[in-house]
Order: sequence, then C-alpha cells, then structure tokens
Amino acid sequence: MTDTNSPEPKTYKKYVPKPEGMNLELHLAAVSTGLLNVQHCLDCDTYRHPPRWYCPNCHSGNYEFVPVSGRGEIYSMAINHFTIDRAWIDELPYVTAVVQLEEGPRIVGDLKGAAPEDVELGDKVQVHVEARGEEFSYLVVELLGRD
Amino acid sequence: MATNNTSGSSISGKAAIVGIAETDYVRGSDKSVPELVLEASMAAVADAGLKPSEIDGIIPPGGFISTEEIAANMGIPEVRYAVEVHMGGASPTASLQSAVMALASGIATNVLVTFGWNGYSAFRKRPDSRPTKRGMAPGPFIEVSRNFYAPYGIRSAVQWYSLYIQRYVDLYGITPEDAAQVALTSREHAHLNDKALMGGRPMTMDDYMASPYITEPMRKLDCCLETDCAAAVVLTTADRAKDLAHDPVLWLGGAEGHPYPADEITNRPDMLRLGLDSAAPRAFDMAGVGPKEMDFLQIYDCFTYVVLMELEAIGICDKGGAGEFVRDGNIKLGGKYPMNTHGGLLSQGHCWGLNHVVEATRQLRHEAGDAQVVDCELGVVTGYGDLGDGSIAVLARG
Repeated sequence: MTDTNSPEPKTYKKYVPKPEGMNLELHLAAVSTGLLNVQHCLDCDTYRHPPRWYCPNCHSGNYEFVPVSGRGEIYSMAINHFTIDRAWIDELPYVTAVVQLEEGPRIVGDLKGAAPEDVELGDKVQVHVEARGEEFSYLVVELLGRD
Repeated sequence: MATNNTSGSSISGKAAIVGIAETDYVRGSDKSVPELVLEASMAAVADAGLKPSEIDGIIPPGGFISTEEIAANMGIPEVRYAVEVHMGGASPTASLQSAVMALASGIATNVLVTFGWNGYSAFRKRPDSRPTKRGMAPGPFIEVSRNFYAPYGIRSAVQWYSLYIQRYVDLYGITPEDAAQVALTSREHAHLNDKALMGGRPMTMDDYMASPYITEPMRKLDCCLETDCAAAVVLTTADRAKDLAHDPVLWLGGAEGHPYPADEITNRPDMLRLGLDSAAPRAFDMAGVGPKEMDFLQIYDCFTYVVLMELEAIGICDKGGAGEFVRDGNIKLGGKYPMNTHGGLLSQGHCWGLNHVVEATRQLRHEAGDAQVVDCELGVVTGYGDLGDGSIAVLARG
C-alpha cells in the first residue's frame, strides 16, 4: 500500500539554456547535423569559439558555422567534488573537460565514462553532440587514450 | 618619503587615501547592504576629518547600492563624479585608479570608494528574514557562462577558476603544500586582527590536508570566507591630504587589466595570463618603483592558488616560482614580503579586497598594531575578479 501522504522526492532538472542570436545559430547547426560545429571565418579561414560577431584575427564579419572533427586533447579540466547546482549532485565527482580541438578552438564539455583519476592533461578525446531539445547541443567528451 | 613622481604618468602621487573604515566581519548579519555600506562610508569620511557634504565623487559597489542612494542617505548634495567599476573582486582596487583620475584632473575634490554586501546571509535565508530585491549584478560574462559553462554544472567561481588552475598546477608542479602556505599564513596573521572572522581559530597543515576538495585542486581551506561586511575609503588630492587627520597614503601608481577575451576563459591564447599580468608592469612603471621594493603585499586571496598566480603576475617571483617563494617564508610577518597582514579574504573576511586597501593604508600610517610591518614605506594591493580581471595599486607613506 502506498503512503499517499509522503511527498514525492524533489527532482532537479539540468539547466538547458535558451540560446539567442549567434549562439542559437551555433546550436541549430549542431542539432540539425548531429555534429560538433564551430564558427569559421570566410575571409581568413580561421575557426573561432564561442561565436563572435567579428573575427578576432582579421575583424571580418563574414562567417559560417561548419562541422569539425571533434578530435582533440584534454587541455585542462575541472574536477568537481562539490556543486551548488542540485541537478548535478548525483554525478559527483564529475569532470568538466576543456578540449583543445584539432581545428584550433577549445570547447567545454562533459567528460563521460572516466573517473577523475583516469584523466590527464594531453589525453586524446573525441567530442560528441547530444541534442537537448531542438535548440541546444550538449557536448560529451569521450576519452580515447594516451600517446 | 619613497616616491618618484616623475616617471610613468602625470597622475602618479597626485592623490592620497585619507580616510578608511570597515564594519565587523560576520557570518550572519541583521544589517542590510545599505546599512553596512553607509556605516562604513560615514566612518571613513569621519576618519578623514571631513564632513559628508564635502564628498563630491562616489564609486559604489555596482549592483548592490547606487551612488544616488549613498549621496541621499549621507547628505552629499553635490556629486560631480559617479562611476561604477564592473570587475568583480578587482573593482575596489581598480576604483582607486578612477578616483585618482577624477582628483588629479580636478573633476572631484574628495572621492568615496565603498563596498559592502551580505556575502554570507544573502545565500542563507533565515525563516524570519524579509526578502530583499538587492543582490549581486550578473557578471559581464553572463552570456558566455550561461551558454557554455552552466549547462555542464560549472556555476561558481571555484569551478570557473579551476579551468585554468588545474593547468597551472600541472604545468608548474605546484603542490597542495604550496597553496597551504598561503592559507596557513593568512590564518596566523588573522590571529593578530580583532576584526578577523578566523582570529583565535588555529589551522594546521594537517587541518589543511584533511580539508575536502571543492573543485580540484581547491580544497575548502583554499577558499575565502563568505562574509557580511562593508568597507570604505576616502581619497583626496595630495595637496589637500596634508591638512587632514591622518598621515596621507599616496597612490603612486595603479592599473587595471583584463585577460583576452575577458568574458571567456578557455579560448584565451594563453589561459594562464591574468589581467594582472598586463596591469602590474604598467602600475610599477607609473609608480617608478619595482615589486621587489615593496615592504608588504596585500594580495587578493579569493583562493590560495589565485594568490600564487598573482605573485607571479606582479613579478615578485618568476612564472612557476610562487610555490618556492611562499615555502621560503617570504610572506609571513617577519619575512621579506609580509602578505595579507590582516588575514585576507581567507581568514579576515571577504570584502572584495577593499579590506586589503584598508589594511595597506593602516600599515603605511604605521597604525597596524601587532601586525605592523616596522617602518614600512611602500606596499602593493591587488584585486582579482570575474573571470581573471586584475587591478593593482602601489601605495606609499606620504
């Protein structure tokens, strides 16, 4: 028999932003292709992230969002043992990776499937995209190995 | 007087800190932000030997209380200069630069710089507390943080900074024992300060090493104290300062610096380059003195590891050399460069570094009591905030 008086345990949903402007363009490109996208300057051929109106290299305003390999390595990371975000408490300790992409920019993503002690700076990774709704692409970082 | 006003800039040495005050540092205050800020501000003006009506420039803590409210509540009828600095914890020390610019140019004659917050109580609502609409303004980096960090459970300062501190410790082999030197020294100094939250509460290396991780490499005891408090300082022109109540403390040089891009950490060409790396050389050049001539250091200490990076940024040790620098006892009272002689944000309390300015002034007035650095003539204050913004002031006994 269920006790109808006991309250449901409160659950917390992970935050999903509602991107605007150029950030929305980035996420729509990633969600529609299922691939990691970054911004690409049409004039000087450099990649940049996060999206910016003008190219920091040549100051051009001509850009596109293009899929990139997702290959890279761990450049830095946050190994979180405490969080003020209740939706993340069950995941502690979790590792947030800064990935140096082969194309140049760095991205922040969720390192999955590896304990903090298994990760070192320089480890090879593959970045995957998971759609969260129709307007946000969540970045998952998969550990590949070490040279 | 250890000054050299001819090098660097036309504003070097043109203004002085003439009034200081701070409230108690507590965890759980019945006082609102306006009460705290106004209490400190009235006391700082009185400390200078001025009347509130003689203040004509105000730099308030952005987002918490406005210049307009401060002026109305203190009886300041003619505000000629009002500006807010949005650099998080780097704001108060950067505000000194702005105040000196206003004074040296003749725009204002007496400038009040103040900060206060319910840094503890605002995050821990008591059942009997009335809700308030006052709070911290979102940082200038909010657009990046909500889109690219928060979705991954990265929402607080210790997490943002770990994105580069993890790389810093990895690159230079900085150890927990190095960071501990900062925490332990701050605690020892706090025991000399009646207003320090952690005065009389000893900390040992064992305590430090047993402290749980928050975000690696930061442990709980690497983090500063959430505090309810306020502080205020009054600046005036160097000429006018001579006639006021206390020995003036001259602003010899200062600067603000912003990492690039300031609103996003991970795509900086050099992720370990802080705003202070660009600000410090400009400030020392303006002041005409070098970092190694300082008699004490008041270094913004939100986190111990940030202090280590700042020590390198101001040039008192080489890149990667801060661990050795603090291990050698330099930063203790009695050492070569006593640091955070009030206990700092780590053990006095967190007043966004305006308490560092207050302590530097007390030292240079030779009124620092048991923590006095004997015969000190020169000192440096740093600020650090948001995603690595930096500020600095080089101060001298006038």
